[in-house]
Amino acid sequence: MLKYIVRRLLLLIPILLGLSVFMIVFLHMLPGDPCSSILGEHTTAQRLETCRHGLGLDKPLYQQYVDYMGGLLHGNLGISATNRVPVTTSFLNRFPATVELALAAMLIAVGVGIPLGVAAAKRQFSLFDNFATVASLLGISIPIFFLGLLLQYAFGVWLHWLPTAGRYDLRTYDFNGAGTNFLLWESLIIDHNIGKFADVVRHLILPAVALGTIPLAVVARITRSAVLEVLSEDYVRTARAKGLTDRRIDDRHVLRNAMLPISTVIGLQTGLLLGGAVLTEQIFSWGGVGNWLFQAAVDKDFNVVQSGALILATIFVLVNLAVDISYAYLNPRIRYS
Amino acid sequence: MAQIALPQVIEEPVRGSSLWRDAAARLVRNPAAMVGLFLILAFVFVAVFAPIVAPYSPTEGTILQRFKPPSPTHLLGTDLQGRDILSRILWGARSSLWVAILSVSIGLTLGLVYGSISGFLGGWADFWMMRLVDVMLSLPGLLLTITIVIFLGPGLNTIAFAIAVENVPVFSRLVRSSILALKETDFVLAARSIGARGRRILVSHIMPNALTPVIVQATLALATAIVDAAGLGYLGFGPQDPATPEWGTMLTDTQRYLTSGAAFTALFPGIAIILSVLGFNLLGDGLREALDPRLKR
Repeated sequence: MLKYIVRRLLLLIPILLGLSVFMIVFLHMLPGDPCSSILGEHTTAQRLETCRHGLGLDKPLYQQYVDYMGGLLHGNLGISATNRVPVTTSFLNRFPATVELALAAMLIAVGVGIPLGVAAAKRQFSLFDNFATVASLLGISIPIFFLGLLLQYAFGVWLHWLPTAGRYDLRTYDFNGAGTNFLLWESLIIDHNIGKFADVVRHLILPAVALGTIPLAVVARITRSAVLEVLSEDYVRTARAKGLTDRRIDDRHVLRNAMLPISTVIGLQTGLLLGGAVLTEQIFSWGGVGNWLFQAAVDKDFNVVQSGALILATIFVLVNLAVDISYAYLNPRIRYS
Repeated sequence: MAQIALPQVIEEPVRGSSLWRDAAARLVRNPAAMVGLFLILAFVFVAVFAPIVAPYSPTEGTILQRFKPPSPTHLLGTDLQGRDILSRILWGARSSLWVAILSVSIGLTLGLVYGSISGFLGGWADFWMMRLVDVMLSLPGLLLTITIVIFLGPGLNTIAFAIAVENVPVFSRLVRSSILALKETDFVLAARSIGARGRRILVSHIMPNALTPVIVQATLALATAIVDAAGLGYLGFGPQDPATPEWGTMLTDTQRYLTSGAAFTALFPGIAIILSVLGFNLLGDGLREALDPRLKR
């Protein structure tokens, strides 16, 4: 098992190397560069030249790549061209916000999706099953930004139940203490402030529901089909013939075996969400990775886009590795060597 | 000895029902898929005949008529500049359809070529070609699309190109894996053992089976393309010319007026997106079940 994990981690190196080459070639192929964004339209060729020289963009591409990789080996992901902040600093500052949002979204997706899928499968072709099928298809078809707007309108503007933007109420609370930017953790564990914690949770609900809807629908669909498949297996019939209770059959035989495809989807979706949700973060003014990289792309900030892509790809691959490892626990027949 | 002529029994040839005919029959019996097909046909009809079916010009409006709620004269109301929302939605279908078809056909063509070459070549070439696909798939999807659109400039064609770039690795991997899997299947072996020629095996055994997952994926990719295009439009990268209505852009324009009692201006373009996307998703699901009888519920 350890050998397998090490081999998978080693495989990450060629992927990241390939990705770095792909990104640098790709970004330089596209027209425009950070200097034209920094200096604006009304600038002189002289100033553009100075700016490019300052950022090292006038060097040949292979030289830029070598410089970049040299920095990378020393753990230096480069500096943003627009605000001169190291990429690592910005990322570490933004990532906790994305983690909180992604985990909350997955909590909703898994917490509602799995029971929904199981219930639908157990009553196949019933009214409830049809309803769940249509609902999950709608969930997959609704554009996230439209859903976000609907939620903001219904719960913010109309009912005044929940806040529609930001991560906490700036007028009442401040988070200058620990600086981890994991606001749930900080408010509850460090500050022991229930009111503050509740405020953070209230801000988290709408974006998490918006972001969690697609994973929820995907998880429900996969759960339904996985459970249906397991229900027709011989060992389930045997278990029933032995006189086991429904509950025991569900727990010990059905769910355990159905969890394999479900956990794949959960892992894949978590990896996708950790990549930052550009649209959700834009709508709810959420200071996460998605918003940050979106702004960097708008500013044509090469270093940030490039390093950001490398970090996110690494996270994505690691999450998938974690899923593969969890298989071995879910299904003892799977042995990695 | 007289010979009795026995009546020659000419057996009716057994009508072979082809994979496609079977699939079509199963598809027609699936009500959800038929609803999807209906939605798609309505969407395509509206896109093609927008100039005829739209009651008003999508670009002209009078400022005095702004934010009129739905009424018999303006079925879905009017927007900030007094333009008829129904007409703009009908014309907007053209933008969505164009991006969807263009992006999926580019992505599909490149993916088919790349995936087939990789699958047929095998060995080292296949290994490295698939590692490039891994690299592209490990990138966060929307970020790549947004970056391309930002650098190439806004507009429907750039959006379509950016979405196509995202689709290429997906189709490549799909085509390659089905070709690899099919090379080794029992029915290909069986066909070979009864003396079928290579061409026949390729055309009537491998191709239909290799294409089925691709067709399903293409239908679902059309749905994703419409959502992504609307998302990019919403972020402000849609067509910059107001004479080209686009659903996502319509939502950005109206988002600010949610609070001022004009929520309907955002509601209808959103519903239009959902219905068209739902159509492709329903049909895609139906096709998946129809083309792979093992999946029958």
